[in-house]
Amino acid sequence: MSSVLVLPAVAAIALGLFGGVVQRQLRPRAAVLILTTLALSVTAAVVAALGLLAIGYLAQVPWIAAYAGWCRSLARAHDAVPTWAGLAALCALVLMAAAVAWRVRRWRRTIAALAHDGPLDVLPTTEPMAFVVPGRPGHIAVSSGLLHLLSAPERRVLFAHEGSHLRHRHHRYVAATDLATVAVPMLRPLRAHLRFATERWADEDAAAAVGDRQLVARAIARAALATTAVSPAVLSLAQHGVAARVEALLDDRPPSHAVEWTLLAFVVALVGGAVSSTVQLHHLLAFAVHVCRL
Amino acid sequence: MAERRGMGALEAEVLGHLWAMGRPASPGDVRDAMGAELAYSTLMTILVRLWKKGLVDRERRGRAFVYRPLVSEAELTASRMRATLDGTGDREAALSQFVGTLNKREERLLRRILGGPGAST
Repeated sequence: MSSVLVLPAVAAIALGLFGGVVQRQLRPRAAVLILTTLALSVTAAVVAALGLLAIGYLAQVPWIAAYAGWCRSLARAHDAVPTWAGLAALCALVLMAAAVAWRVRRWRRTIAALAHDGPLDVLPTTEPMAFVVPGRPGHIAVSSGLLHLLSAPERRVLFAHEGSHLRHRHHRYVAATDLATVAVPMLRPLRAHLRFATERWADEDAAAAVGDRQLVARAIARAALATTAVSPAVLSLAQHGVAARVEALLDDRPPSHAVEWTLLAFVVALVGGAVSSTVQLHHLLAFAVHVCRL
Repeated sequence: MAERRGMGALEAEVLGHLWAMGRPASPGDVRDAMGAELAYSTLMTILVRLWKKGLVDRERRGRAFVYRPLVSEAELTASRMRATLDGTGDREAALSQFVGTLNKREERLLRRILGGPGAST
């Protein structure tokens, strides 16, 4: 019975390993949608498999079965779940729920601290920074340092970029994938890929809005270099792929269709596998309800 | 264009240009900064909306109005400071940023694209 975990686990590991390929080979918008879908379906499959083990185990415990009105025939109908597997699955589910709740709480706090009334919040700092604060309707936050650093055309790039994040609600994809990786640590490499893909999406929107890819590349490069100058301490800490974004803007060869279709087939297979293992849980629950009410 | 880009983002952009100009600006000045594809009537609509919301002040200069932003720099409370400047990941987790940090190789590459260390527009 523990074998129910194999397929979702393989899917999670495969996605963690090959998520980068999806991101590199697809147009940014497609990459964001597909990576988010994959992350959520694999997470659902893992949760379903763990739930199957946990319920299977709980159904064997006599007093729980009696209390819930379950019948023992259900447990006998399936292979018995070893105690260690059942308990481990229960623990994993509790830990996942706690990690997700903790992450949501931290977001809420950050976003509440940045609340602002109006479409633009000018942050009184010389460090060049700009970001979108999600909400209804949400707003753009830009440091006065960045506003003064950029030329007027570069400011148009900045606002077209941030406006794209705001309009397409990119934070939802980022949040969904983030929660998936918090729940299923094997998916963790996906976070950076998805974040990069949302930035590329906004870059392409900005390029379309100002009609000049070079200008977008220059604006990003200038802002990034100024950021480095202000905070050298974080130089080697993180790679957000700024250089890769700039290179992508300067070299705009469209991805090949053959690769896109192959990837799409891979994605359909993965989602199909994930969904079918989720369906198993659904069947078990339906089975339990029918058999035990007789 | 207004519909495609969203009114909120356009309002933010107009405010941003006004803010960066640092002096009372005419609609023509703002339009120069925003590029010619923005219709003059759209720009006027945005400026009037911003004025009605109390986000810009305007005064008559000659036959037209000039506008300046009434952006009150929100005071940096401790929690706000942390949320804004925190590099530990909370901000990164919750928000999309324009740029992140660079490593040495990326820095060299970007400097080359901009045309040397002292390059500026």
